[in-house]
Amino acid sequence: MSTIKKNIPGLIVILTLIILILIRLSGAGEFKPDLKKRAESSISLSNLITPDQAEKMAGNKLIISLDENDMILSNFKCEVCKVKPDSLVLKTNLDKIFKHKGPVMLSSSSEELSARLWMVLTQMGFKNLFILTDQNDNEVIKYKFQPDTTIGLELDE
Amino acid sequence: MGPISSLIAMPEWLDLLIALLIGVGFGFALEQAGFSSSRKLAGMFYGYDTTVIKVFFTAAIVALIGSQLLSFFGLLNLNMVFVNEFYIGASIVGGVIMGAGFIMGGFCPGTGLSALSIGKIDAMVFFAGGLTGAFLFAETYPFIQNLADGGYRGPLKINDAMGISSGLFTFLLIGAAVAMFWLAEKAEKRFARPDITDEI
Amino acid sequence: MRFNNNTMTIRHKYSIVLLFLGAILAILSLSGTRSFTVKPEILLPEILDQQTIFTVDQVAKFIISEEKQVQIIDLRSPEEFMLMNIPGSVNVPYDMLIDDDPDKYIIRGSRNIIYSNGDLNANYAMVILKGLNYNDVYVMKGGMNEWFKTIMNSSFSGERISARENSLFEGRMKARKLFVEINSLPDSLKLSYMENRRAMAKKLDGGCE
Repeated sequence: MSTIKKNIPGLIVILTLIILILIRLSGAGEFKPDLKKRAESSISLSNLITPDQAEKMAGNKLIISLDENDMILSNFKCEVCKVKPDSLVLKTNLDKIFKHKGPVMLSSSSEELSARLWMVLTQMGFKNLFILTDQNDNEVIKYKFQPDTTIGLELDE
Repeated sequence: MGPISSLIAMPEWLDLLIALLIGVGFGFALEQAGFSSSRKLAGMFYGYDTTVIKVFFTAAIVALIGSQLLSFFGLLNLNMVFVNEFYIGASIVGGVIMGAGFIMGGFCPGTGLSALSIGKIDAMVFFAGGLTGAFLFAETYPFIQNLADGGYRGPLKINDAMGISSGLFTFLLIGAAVAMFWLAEKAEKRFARPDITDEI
Repeated sequence: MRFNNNTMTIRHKYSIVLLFLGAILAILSLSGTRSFTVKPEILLPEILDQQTIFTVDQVAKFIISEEKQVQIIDLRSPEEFMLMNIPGSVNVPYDMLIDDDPDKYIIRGSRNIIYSNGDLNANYAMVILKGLNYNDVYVMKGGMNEWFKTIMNSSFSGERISARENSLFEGRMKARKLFVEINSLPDSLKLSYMENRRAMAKKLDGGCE
């Protein structure tokens, strides 16, 4: 007992540190650890779905429309919510997405925007999040290169 | 103050002022620890005074722990901290020269400067020697360039080279430090030179 | 003797505290793996910023002027990279980039422009790098597909051409020529060209000299 009493200042410091660390580890509304695992489905392309696949998907679907992209959405009979990209991290919007039980899909007119926001949300802990797109081959090269075989060997660096 | 500037936007004068204050603190700490005495510093080699290793190693691991914790809490961006580039050949040769110089002169550049500031003549001579060496290096650079630039390994961190995480490396380093302090204490008893240690 | 005992105990205490802190750090880095270090509220405006995008024409200008403070990173597979790539680019496959330490590839202080075949991987990678607090990261809009469409396959049609259109067209022709030249080299020469570029880029890396 007396050793503890003697060392109270040091123990308080260490205890505070441990508490701060635990708070930091639990971090709500923050980015979660395990970056690579969360990004896995972007490597396997399993985070992309076409409107047809989305129709067939089971569960209560929620679509988040990020801009005025009405073309894909007009066919859907499920919950659509319009969110401006820059208000995506507001607590109200995040809660809505988090609390939703079922697949959530991001829809916008530019793949760029959907891809970026998908990554942000996934790293915040969202699972079951997809990008709604009508191009399944965005990352496939669509052109072939014909090398010029007459190029000489005079290039020097 | 790169890493901290990412938290708060600081005007340049404030940056430099903080650097000045840190420098003042460093010099003050060195002087009050007695590092202006060349006999104390040389004692590290002869074994009768191991203060140098204790002070510098403690400073290193406190800085290591502090920066790891700050990085964990997101207050410090470790990616922005400058890591020196590693040239194998140059490091070995430079290390040997520096070590020999340290023992012979009884100063290293930082402690030499703090001794110089309290007016010690041996520090003045040491500095003259140091500046001469730097001048000679610059003048002979074309001849020694290969050695100076050889064996480039990039900004390498030990934990990367060992393939372990930085946290684990911190722990191992602290363990090594504690072991070395214990050895240092033993050495002080074994190589005691009370005639010198009583004076410094 | 009593004085000695007290100082010994203080040293022991310090050693124990330091070892304890070290153990905490070791455990922390073993349990959680990497995560973004930037907060969501800060990351979001950064990734919505249009300044993070370069068009293929802008990238073409960089490569024909051999802009030094620019590094171009190709996120595609090594096979695709060897078939053809933007001259001067480095190959870091997407899955490797997110697994590895980006410091090995990202040059601080230079503009790091990443591209893939399309729009997805490059933008995923950009978010990840920005989340890990790498600031100088940009995306080439449209990727290699857009490069082909605009730089390699575009042609000018019409009677008159404005000065701006003219310079744009000229830039594209130069980039096209360079692209064909470099990518038509046999593999061995291609590799040494890339090694050269990498060595040059390393030399310009910043720091206190």
